[in-house]
Amino acid sequence: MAETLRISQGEAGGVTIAISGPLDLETAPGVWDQAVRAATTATKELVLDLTGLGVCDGVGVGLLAELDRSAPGQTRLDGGSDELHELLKMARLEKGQDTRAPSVGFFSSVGQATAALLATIHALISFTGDVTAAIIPAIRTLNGTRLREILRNCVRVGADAVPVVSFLGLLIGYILSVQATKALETVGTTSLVPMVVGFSTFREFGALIAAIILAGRSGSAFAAELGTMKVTEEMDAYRTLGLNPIVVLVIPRILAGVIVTPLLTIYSIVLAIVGGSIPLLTKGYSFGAYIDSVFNSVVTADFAQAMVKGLVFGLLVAMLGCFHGMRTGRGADAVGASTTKAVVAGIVAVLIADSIVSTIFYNLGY
Amino acid sequence: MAANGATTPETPIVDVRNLRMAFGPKVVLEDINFKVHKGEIFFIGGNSGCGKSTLFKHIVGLIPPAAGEIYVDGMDAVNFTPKEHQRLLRHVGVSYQGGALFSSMSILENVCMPLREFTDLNAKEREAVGMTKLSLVGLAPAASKLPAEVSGGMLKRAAVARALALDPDLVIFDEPSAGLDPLSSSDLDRLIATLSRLLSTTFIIVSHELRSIFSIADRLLLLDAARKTQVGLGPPKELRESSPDSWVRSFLNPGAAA
Ligand SMILES: Nc1ncnc2c1ncn2[C@@H]1O[C@H](COP(=O)(O)OP(=O)(O)OP(=O)(O)O)[C@@H](O)[C@H]1O
Ligand SMILES: [Mg+2]
Repeated sequence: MAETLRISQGEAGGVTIAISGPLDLETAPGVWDQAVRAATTATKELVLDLTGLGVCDGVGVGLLAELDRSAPGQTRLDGGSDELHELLKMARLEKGQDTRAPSVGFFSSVGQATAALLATIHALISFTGDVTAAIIPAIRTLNGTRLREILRNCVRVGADAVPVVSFLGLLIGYILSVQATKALETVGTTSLVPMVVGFSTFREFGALIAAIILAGRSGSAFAAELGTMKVTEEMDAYRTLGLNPIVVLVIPRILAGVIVTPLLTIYSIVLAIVGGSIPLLTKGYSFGAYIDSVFNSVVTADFAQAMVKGLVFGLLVAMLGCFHGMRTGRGADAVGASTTKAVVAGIVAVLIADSIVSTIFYNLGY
Repeated sequence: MAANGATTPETPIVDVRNLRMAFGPKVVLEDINFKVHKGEIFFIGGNSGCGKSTLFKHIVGLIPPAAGEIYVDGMDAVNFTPKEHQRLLRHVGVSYQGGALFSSMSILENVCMPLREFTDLNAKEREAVGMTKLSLVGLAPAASKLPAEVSGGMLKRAAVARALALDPDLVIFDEPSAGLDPLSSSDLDRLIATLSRLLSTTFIIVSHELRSIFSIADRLLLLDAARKTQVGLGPPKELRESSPDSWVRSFLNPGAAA
């Protein structure tokens, strides 16, 4: 292979780089470092001698432009086609143009994460304020379209979730019953199994099943829908039409969550109780006797607790879904990120709320 | 890219024969016939919704046409194995109407990505080549920004730079200058003309920009949504002066009274 590069050092910071033959994807990498190093020493003038230059593709142009950029002094071209000159002129960078983002160290990334968390909490508080402030306008502007939107969301959040809630309810009831039977067998009190099932499904699992399904299905969907609307500027379109997205989009979704979750809670309680009967039926219990002892063991306050939890969980999951949707940045991965955050935040919030509500009921004597 | 033994210097780089485009029962265009020659700057124009974007997706084999044949540099662009499709695409650079930048990568990373996938250049070399492409479209200052952080016109130009990253033989731009100011738009025209002379790159450009058409197009294909077919093919000035079709003449000369 013929020599591609000839470098001659002139006096007082003048460097001439003569290039012969093709300068392209094949040949450029071979001479790249050497040429760039030479160019950086051209404190006064860099002469690129292109008289012997053959084919020069984009990589070649990239190298020539890089030489120009690396030279601290002037650059002059000798020879080469008019097109090449034209292209190099277009490719010329202003010296010192910022090209890359600085990398971030460990401590500053910890600091940034903390700041981001505080910003999220702050945004959540102001979002809650926005939603509260939008309740009155939402009621005032309630019309057919808005009602249909609420109804549509109720169907999506509730009716469409029935199959999976049924399945989960049955399974949890069954598992609960199997484990309780095992535990109580050792002390010979399997007759208490219906009480354990009734007590725990009413007070805990009914609402939890509903809330977790809600977070997985609807919290994520809310975040993704609203996030996509933000990315595609639909949200801005609502605003410019004089419509508040909180009123039009967020409140119907939150309402759907609040209305539907208590209903799903009741439904999953029923299914869990049915599921809980299965291990006992195989042991010769009658279904009627089982149901009787389940309902003898729970009181109205247990039902109230289920409803309160359903309501609170529904509110939290729907709010957080919408919140993360509305906070979506731009770009496709921003939507994915919001969706994940919505689900995780929803489940965490539900469990925190669960412990608070349980404690309150306990302290009230129930 | 002599990938096929039948390729000769006269083989058109794109050869479209009796193409019919349809979505289900709805025909978009039919009887489309044209050839694009190597090194040509070929414009495709037509009213909005006439099927320009769909046509270029047929050419690169992203959507199969309802009927007809397409050859890209002698390779069948309608029936192909995944491997043949890869080989075809390796020599084609496309910028989409919406930009279609990868949103999780910076502008520079977007441009360097084809270089990373298809060449052995190291990171430093890729970056220099990428920066050069970006400065060609005037985007060097935005190199480290994410697509979400730049304007619509900048996205367009970044997409153009990415399409040029591998010095493709065939470049397809879908409305590259929509959303650009007249100055950036004529810079882009100058870049296209220069590249076509320097590297004999073939350009297929979907555009309504009459100024660009008359300053750099070798030939123009005009499509009409109403008649659902091509209504003019030839050098734009010739079409404007002497097309037998009055729609074509007025399309290219919108100022004149009908
Ligand atoms: N995926 C699709 N399904 C059904 N119809 C489609 C689809 N994509 C495009 N069309 C229809 O095909 C026709 C051509 O669309 P295309 O996007 O190719 O138009 P265009 O010429 O690029 O328009 P514009 O200049 O507005 O970009 C339009 O009528 C459009 O409605
Ligand atoms: Mg289009």
